Amino acid sequence: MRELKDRFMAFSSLVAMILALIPILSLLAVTLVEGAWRISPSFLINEPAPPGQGGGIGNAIQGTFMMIVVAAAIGISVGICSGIYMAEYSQKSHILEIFTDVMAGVPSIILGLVVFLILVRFIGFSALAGGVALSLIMIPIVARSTEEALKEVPNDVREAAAALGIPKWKAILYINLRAAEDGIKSGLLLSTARALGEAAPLLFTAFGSQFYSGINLLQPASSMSLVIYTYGSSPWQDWRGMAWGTALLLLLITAFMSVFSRRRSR
Amino acid sequence: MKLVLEKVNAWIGKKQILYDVNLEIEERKVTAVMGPSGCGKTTLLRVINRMHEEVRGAKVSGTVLLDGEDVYRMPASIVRRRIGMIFQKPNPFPNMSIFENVAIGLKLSGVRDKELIRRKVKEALEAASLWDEVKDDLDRPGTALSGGQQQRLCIARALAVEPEVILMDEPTSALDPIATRRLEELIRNLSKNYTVVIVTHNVQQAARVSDYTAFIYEGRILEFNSTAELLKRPKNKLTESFITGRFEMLREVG
Amino acid sequence: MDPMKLISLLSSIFILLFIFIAFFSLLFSSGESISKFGLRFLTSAEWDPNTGRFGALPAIAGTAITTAISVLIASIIGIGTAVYISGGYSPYWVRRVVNPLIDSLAAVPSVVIGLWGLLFLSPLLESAYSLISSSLGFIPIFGGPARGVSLMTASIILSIMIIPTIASLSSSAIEMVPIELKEGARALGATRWETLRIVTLPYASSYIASSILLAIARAMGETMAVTMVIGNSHDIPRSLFQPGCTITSVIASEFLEATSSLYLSSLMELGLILLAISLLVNIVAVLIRRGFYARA
Repeated sequence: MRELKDRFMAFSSLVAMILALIPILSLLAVTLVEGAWRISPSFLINEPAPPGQGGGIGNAIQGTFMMIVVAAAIGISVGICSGIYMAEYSQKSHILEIFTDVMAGVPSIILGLVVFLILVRFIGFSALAGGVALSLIMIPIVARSTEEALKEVPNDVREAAAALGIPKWKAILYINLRAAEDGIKSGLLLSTARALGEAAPLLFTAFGSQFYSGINLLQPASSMSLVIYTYGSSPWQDWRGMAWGTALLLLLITAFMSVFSRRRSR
Repeated sequence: MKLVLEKVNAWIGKKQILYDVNLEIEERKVTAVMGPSGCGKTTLLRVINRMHEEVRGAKVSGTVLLDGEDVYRMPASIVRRRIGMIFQKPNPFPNMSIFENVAIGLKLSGVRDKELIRRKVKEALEAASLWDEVKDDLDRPGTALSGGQQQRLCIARALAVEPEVILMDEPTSALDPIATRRLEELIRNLSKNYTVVIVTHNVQQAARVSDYTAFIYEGRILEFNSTAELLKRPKNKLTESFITGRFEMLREVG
Repeated sequence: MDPMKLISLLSSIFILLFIFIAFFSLLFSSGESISKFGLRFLTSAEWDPNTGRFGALPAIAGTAITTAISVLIASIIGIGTAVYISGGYSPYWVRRVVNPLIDSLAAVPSVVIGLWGLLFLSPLLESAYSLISSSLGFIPIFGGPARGVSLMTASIILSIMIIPTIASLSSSAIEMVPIELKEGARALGATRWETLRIVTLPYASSYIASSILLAIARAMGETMAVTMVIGNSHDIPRSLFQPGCTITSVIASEFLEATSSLYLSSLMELGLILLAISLLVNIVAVLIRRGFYARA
């Protein structure tokens, strides 16, 4: 009887696992099938056109790129510095850690609302505002992974640096960060991959656009994630197809990044 | 006298570790600080290069003079460049090559000239008797070396900033007997150019390596003499029992 | 003060302040709708931009229902998966194959899942719902006409998104249980399930609970995938197979069309409510998880 229960649990948990795996397998397969034939040079370069007239996501790719650069610049600097403080200077980092984790849990659409309230009223819908919103997603991830990586660095490294007469801040910058570089880099890759896929915070900050915006960060901008949302929910077959193509592209990029990050931390 | 300690007391929080320590370290000689575990040997060393104050709640009183100057009135980073330290467990900097490990002390004190750095790294590695073993591939990570080699790398790293004194805290305790012998030879060689203070709990090591020995017990220097004298004719009963290995027995009785 | 200490301290202060900045900016901009509707905002189901009457009830109800159903489904499947891969029921290699798959699911952007949900899953589900509705339709929540784009689909999509959170954290929790305890039970003759039931799961329960709380927070805050498959209707949901709305879907789909300042303010107030609840849930989850680490 007890054996039976055990066997039953073995079976049901197996079923649970299979149910857990079906969606991802289906999603990968469907995206591949629907999106692969959409990707072409013109798809990657052209601006969007009315349904049925071709068009592409070139401006969305450019927008994504620009916003990620802004987000990474802010996210990495604030994130790493904050991680340094928690690991190297603060006595009781618990409170800070809790606040950082809570910041990570704020819904991304709320982040978009906050940036709208604080920034967009001054500079308008723009790639810059979008980048700032994305940086708020990156900061807590980078901060915690930097902190954890630095805390892994054994204390005798710090002692050796001090015994050489190296001032604390130089030791952190040139020795500790170096020692922690694997963990830090993987945090950077992870947070960037996350930011690439977000659309909610961009809805009212970058706003979306049909055009290339050049180097101007103060114009509204599109992103691959926004394209998937707006074109995917549109009633036109043609545009929905573009959404699939963009989705596949995005998946390929994020997959590449996480494989890369796993390679580094080996 | 290169180093003079006068009435040095040290605490961690409320616990006192060193009591009225007076010591004179002669230039270009090896002085051993010997004693049982937990008697303050390491603290004594760390008071000299001001590493003790890095610990929370640490306190020091008394004077430490380097060439007549009070070490506690100089900037700590300068003290530590003139007085280097080698630790019990080798600790090369992770994710840095052999070259980078030795060069970093120089680079961070402002030296830019690449040729100069390369030359100093070579000299330091030669003085640490490691050059021949690593000269073909200086870009290997420091951590890829064996224990004994890593310890010599740490010595090279310390020598690169051109100290006058080298403090060694039980530097061979993590090494196998062969690496230990090599290191002891190196220590004798180093004393030609540097003043060495070595902490050890091993009487035979003190005998092999040092010119002078101080015996420390429960934070107090009980005896100080040339090593030969101290080992042949110890004046203090405790010193004698430590040397002859009957220390544990005496502690139980006394 | 060491310059690096200063800069890094400022960065940390930014993080500390951010939550307050977020909360108060939303509070401030909800002013108009808070003063106009007061507590009625939470209980009214009216949502009419033309007459300027806004009530959050359908959105709050929608968030609550979709979160509850999705967390229920995801907990069963997620913990079940964790039990299978870490509870001694499968050989080691299964973990090595399954974990990356689960982690990939966690890495898929919300919009992509929403796209798959909208264009692939919901037509399929619509047929399934119609079947259920025709036989069980007398039960109100299964009433027809069944739509693919509905509360139920949103719940299913959400559950798919949070399964990785629950599965991988629960799996870690099970593995963190000291092996001496597990082996002790087995040595006494307990079956794998009995070991799980009596030793492992109780020990890991607080950690698993915190993973469920995290999943709840995630489900509540999820926007894009939900917005794409929920149908965006402000009617009070009577059936799970009908379109509905959540706080996030309302904000996402209506923000750029908010014509009046009251409309905007009401949307901000919705955001404020969401922020408040998710902060609460998050803080509790974080504290529980830290308690577990302190014990383990």
